[in-house]
Amino acid sequence: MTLPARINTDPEHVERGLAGLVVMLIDLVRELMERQAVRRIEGGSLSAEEIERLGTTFMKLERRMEELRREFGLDDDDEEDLLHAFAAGPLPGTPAGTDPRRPLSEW
Amino acid sequence: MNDDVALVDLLDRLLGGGVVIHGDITLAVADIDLVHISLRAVLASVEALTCPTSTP
Amino acid sequence: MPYVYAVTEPGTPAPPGLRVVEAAGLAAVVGDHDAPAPSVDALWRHERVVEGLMERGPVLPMRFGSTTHDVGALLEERHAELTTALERVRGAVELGVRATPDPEPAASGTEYLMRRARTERAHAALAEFARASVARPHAGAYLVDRDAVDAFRARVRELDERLTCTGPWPPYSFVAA
Repeated sequence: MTLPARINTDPEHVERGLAGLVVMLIDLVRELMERQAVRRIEGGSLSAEEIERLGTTFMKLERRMEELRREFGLDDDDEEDLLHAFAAGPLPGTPAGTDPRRPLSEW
Repeated sequence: MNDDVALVDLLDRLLGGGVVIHGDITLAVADIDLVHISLRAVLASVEALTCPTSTP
Repeated sequence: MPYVYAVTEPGTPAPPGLRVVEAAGLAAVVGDHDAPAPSVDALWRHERVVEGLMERGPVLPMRFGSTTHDVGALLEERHAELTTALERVRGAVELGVRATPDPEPAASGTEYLMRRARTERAHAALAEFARASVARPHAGAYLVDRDAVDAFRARVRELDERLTCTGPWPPYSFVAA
């Protein structure tokens, strides 16, 4: 999941925008750890039992991340929802108070 | 551009990539911009901080 | 507020309906309209403008929705970073590689890591054919010389038929150092 350019928290959904940031950071650390585990496996420095244990832990973490995404409504695959999630709030640089969703006649 | 492009490919690039003007992510509360975060700086720091353990 | 599509070299002709601002040895392609709401159509319209520019020379795509009061100041303040980036991408395009997710979850921890290992190896193999690469959990992005694109695509097919290669894209993933 990539983050929107702007995370605008409002009282109704305070945790949602920030949760996206947290989920992304956890995913990043998870990815780094998995990549490192793969390097260790290819370097031959892990036993079969250690590999299985590491892999199972990562699987559990992946499942937990999916649960977190569902809890915070970040798991939507619907096109419109994805777009809104990516671009929450007025776009950067849009003057405050203007409605960014009005259609443009030039287009 | 071929036919296999999925929405995620477009979103990743147009909304997650490219040159940014105000910092990668702007955190706002009630429409008031408060913090600009450079995500690349954060990612680079995480990469730099996670020193790989040595392999024998 | 002017809407910025991309940063290019001076002397870039303005696409229809748009104009070019030149400063600090760079050029910015600009539209005099507000940022549109981020619909799929609006994203593709932005993308088409940037792709058109890509035909003519190196281009640094702006993120969708980028507007600024003073385009000249943007170019002047960041001219070092932007000039370096323009040279980094000259003569190259971005290709994306995505893996179709496995239909079944891994049956064991070991299988999970073996799958990751295969993805890592594929990424490393493809990175060798690119000037630069970025690996994300769900996809890889590669900065590939224009005349090496077909060879790269062939390499993707050879590696794993479950890999999907998209592009050529303007170099969205390679604008920063």
